[in-house]
Amino acid sequence: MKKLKAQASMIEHILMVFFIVVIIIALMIFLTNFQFSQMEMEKKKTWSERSLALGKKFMNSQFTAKKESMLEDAKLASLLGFTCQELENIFGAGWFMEVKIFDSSGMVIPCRSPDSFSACNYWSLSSCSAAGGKNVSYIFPVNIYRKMFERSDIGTIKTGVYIS
Amino acid sequence: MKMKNVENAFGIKFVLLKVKNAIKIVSEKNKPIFPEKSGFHKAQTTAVLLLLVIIIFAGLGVFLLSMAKEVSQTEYMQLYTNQLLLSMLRTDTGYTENDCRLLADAVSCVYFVHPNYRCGGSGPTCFDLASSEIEGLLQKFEMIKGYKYLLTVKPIGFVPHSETGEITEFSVGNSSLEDLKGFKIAATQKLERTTSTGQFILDVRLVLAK
Repeated sequence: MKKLKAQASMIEHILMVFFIVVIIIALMIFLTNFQFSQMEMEKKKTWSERSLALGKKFMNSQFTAKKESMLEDAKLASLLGFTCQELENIFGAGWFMEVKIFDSSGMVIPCRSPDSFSACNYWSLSSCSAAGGKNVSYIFPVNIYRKMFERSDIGTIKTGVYIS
Repeated sequence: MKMKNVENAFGIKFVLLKVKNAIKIVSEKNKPIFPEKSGFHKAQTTAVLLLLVIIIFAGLGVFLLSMAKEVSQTEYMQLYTNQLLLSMLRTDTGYTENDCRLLADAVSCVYFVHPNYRCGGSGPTCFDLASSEIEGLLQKFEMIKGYKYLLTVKPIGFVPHSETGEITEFSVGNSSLEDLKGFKIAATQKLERTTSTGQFILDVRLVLAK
């Protein structure tokens, strides 16, 4: 009887220790994963903040905007004549920007030179180090002032940063 | 004499032994029938408690992570809606006269000129132009496809009447959003006009909800 009691008590203790060790290991794995996901979230937050800040900068910069939150097509066209290094000097590295106007044509007509800004409705700019791939981007509605026609159209601006 | 003493000592010892055995039997009778079972129950309870702790921790972690994601999407949609309303109001309608040039002018025209004022002389009324422009513009944005919208205009500090005495009201979209209790995103812009009788303000509000 005493022998059985001692055996049961020993098994109980072994099981308890086993469970506690399992809990500790599970907690360690959980906390490590939590740390990694927190770091990932911080990274994503940094990229998101940079992408949003870039969008705000483009919407208000003297290089692109006529006034606050209103881009100007002539200014966007003139940026097409800048080299990517010059763009990086102004706006930093690892980004891209796309501006699209919703006009009556219904088509996407890309602007390729600084001279043809009145006939096109889509601008795409990026820094030198922008090589495509994963990115964090945001789209916002924006006005684009058409200098030739002296009217303000509506469109979207998409700004993004590439994730390293 | 000696024999008698030995017999007595032996007798006392025998009685003592009997009493001892009797006490042993009684105490064994009072012991629980399966003493090892209480230890087993204790181990079971502990195991269940430990499992509960693990489940609570895991659930808490999942909940916290899901909450974080939700907040940033809401902030983005709020910024998007603010920018959408501002951009829409500053968009050209295609008419060149001051009362109908921008969408904001057409909306102001409904309250400060007349809802039936015809833009371009023979074109649509301010009211119809503003309504059609707003509906047309909102459909162009992919981000809000799937959202219900309501754009309302409320005068602040004054009540505009038509000639028949009716109160002028302008709104476009799903009117049920006004009283909707669930999650919705709202943006407001103010339109001001200064006349000889004073300064008047219109509160333009755009509400989006899924």
